[in-house]
Amino acid sequence: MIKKVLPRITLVTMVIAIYMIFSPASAIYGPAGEVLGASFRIFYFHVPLAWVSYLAFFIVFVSSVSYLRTKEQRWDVFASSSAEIGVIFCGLVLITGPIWAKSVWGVYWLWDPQLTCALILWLLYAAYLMVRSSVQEPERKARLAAVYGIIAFIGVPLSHFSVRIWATLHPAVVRGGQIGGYPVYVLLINILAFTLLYAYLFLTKVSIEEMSEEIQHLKRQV
Amino acid sequence: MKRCLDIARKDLRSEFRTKQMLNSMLIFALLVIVIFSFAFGPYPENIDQLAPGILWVAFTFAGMLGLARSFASEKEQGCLDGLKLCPVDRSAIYMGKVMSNTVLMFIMEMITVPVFIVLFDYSISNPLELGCIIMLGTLGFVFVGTLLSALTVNVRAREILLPVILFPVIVPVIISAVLATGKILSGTNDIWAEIRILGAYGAIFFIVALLIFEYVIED
Repeated sequence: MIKKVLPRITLVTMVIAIYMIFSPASAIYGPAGEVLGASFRIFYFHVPLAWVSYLAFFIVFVSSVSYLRTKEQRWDVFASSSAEIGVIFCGLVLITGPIWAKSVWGVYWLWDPQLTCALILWLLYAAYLMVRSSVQEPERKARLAAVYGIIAFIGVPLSHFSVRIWATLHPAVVRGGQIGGYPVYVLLINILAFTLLYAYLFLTKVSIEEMSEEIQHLKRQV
Repeated sequence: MKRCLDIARKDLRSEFRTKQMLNSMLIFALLVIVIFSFAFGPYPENIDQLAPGILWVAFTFAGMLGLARSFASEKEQGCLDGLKLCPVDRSAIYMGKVMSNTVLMFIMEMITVPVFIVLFDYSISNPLELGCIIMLGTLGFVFVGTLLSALTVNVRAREILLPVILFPVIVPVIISAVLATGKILSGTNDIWAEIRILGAYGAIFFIVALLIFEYVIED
């Protein structure tokens, strides 16, 4: 049931969300009331992507803890699927961020706390995928990956604090003007659309894993 | 507690018979410092900004060598299985390994720091604070490093995997320790924020590691 409905809902929401991004009303105004350039519309992609990657990594953490407690294969499948999607989305954050930064700040990259944290996050979960790919036996792979999933997640807030005190040494970045009114709704519907996309990708990945599990099982029977 | 000490003592005794690990850590740390000095030229202008980073890169790289061998050396002749068969809590193995790794790191650091001070011509006005930062940073590094060293012990290409998975996790340690060391070397003593992060990092990862270590060496 949900596997049939979800892709359609995701598609519809995504189309509405993208339409809203490019409608004139969603322009963001700077502090002085001027319309900020078209590059600002990438903000509507950037923020939902970041949100989804945080959500995905949180699910990796929850699944890892649950796996160690219950030793059920299901949780491992959840953790690996979520981590892969999270790394992709976090990578997109790291791509959209510099594109936006180039037109707003004039440089692609600044060691600003949020950018730096996104980079550390990406490195942590890329390392998580490395752990997964370097172990063969399914049981041990699941167990070691779960341990690393927990460690990586605990490292995130600590990195955030340390990066904050570190980045105060560098010139402060002026963030864009406050948003209010219509752009907030555009942002919210984009967050909804990307969360649905995540849910859809997640379910697809889980069912792929289940199918490959079944094939392995059938092969063994033959 | 006594059992942890026994495991640590066993490790250190076998290490001091050959001193192989300690020597390579030490030489490597010194090499890192010397190579950075060559890379940045004899009298770089912003040496105060570079020096703390050089010191901590030397510590972490050399520490990585020790950690990589810490559990791998147990695999030879099935020592790890023997350890697991011991009638002790699994976390005691972790504690013992942490102790022996910390001792090795401290010895390496006690020799590296004077060389560093001589080469970069620093006079340390408050050695106590520097020692405190080095101790906290090393503990944080070893707490996580020992756990991940055990994690990679049965993995193929573990020499590559350990640095790849360890460095992203110890970013907070490196950042805070480098900042605090820089402040101490330049004479400012406002290092409370860094000490708090290092302390919290060490405490959190120590507890987490004790809790999940048994899952790491289950097989």
